[in-house]
Amino acid sequence: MSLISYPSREINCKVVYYGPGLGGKTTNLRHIYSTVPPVRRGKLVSLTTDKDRTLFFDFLPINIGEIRGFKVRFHLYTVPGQIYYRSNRRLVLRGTDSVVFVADSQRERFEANLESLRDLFVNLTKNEIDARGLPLVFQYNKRDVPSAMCLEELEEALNPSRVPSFEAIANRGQGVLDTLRSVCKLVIRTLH
Amino acid sequence: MAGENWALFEQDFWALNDALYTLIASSYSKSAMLIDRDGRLIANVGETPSFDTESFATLSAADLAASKELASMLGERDFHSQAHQGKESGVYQSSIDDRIILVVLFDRRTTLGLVRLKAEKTVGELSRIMSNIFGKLSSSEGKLEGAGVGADFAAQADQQIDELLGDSVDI
Repeated sequence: MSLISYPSREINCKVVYYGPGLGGKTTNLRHIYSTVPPVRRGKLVSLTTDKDRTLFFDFLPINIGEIRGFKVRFHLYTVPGQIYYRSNRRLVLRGTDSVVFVADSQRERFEANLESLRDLFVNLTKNEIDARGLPLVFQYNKRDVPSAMCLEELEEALNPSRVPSFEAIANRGQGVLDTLRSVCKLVIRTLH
Repeated sequence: MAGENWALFEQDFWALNDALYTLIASSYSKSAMLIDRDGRLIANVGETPSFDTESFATLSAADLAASKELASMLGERDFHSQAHQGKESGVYQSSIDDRIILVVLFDRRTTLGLVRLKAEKTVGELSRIMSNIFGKLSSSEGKLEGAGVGADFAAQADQQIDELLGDSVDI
């Protein structure tokens, strides 16, 4: 749920990047951090293990600008993808306004994608978030790997309702901003 | 919940600020913040912090959320408050009605005991104001329609989003 503060003329919205471990969620945030001008973004906070795997979350605030006198900010979070951090994912997902599901295109990660998607819906329910009204965008990452599944196969398995989806090679920045742009616009529409 | 946004209006904002000012004056603290349980900063009074308040708010909310999970593993409903103290400064956090978090920053000019005592008194006042806000939001008085966000807002927002995030890299 977005927070609209009329006295300070601010709107703060939350986007959570969800998906299987090592799928590219943190890479998305790192690319956004390096692309958005410093005056329009805050610090990238990462709570990681000593092996640089996400332990709790990554966090990056970005400032879209001023719209009709309101400063609009998006708070971008990633969840830890590894199976055993289930409770951390549920906490990060709490109160979210939207989700970007970062799927790993590699065929050998197909089951991990399905498992993570199931886990997403379980955690949304636990947080009393109605998935039907939640802005959701898919990103099919690692399109450049030899074992990448074809797009139609991924869409059919993961995105039967055909919400917006994007192909990406996040470590080269490809598809990262298209995904973010799409989810930000969907969230804005929920403010009415 | 998705789609159920909440809004803070002028009168409530100043009531919250007044309560926080009274708290920092009576406890000799540096500053006090109110954060929603999802890590968004609602109010911040006192000395201007030298750090990024948005990141601080997010980490505070995560800190308290993790503590609540630990409490539940121990069979407690929650640990409603917690404190961290270093050599020069400290932070006291208290959850209010599982909706918002009061964070008080203090240094050697005061003690954790005094901060805790005054903060616990303030929690009741903040709880009353927040109940009032959520009460209004569930009635017609607090509906967001027509309150400033609407009509051509989305079109203008789209334009700003395209300007900031428009440099896509094709595959």
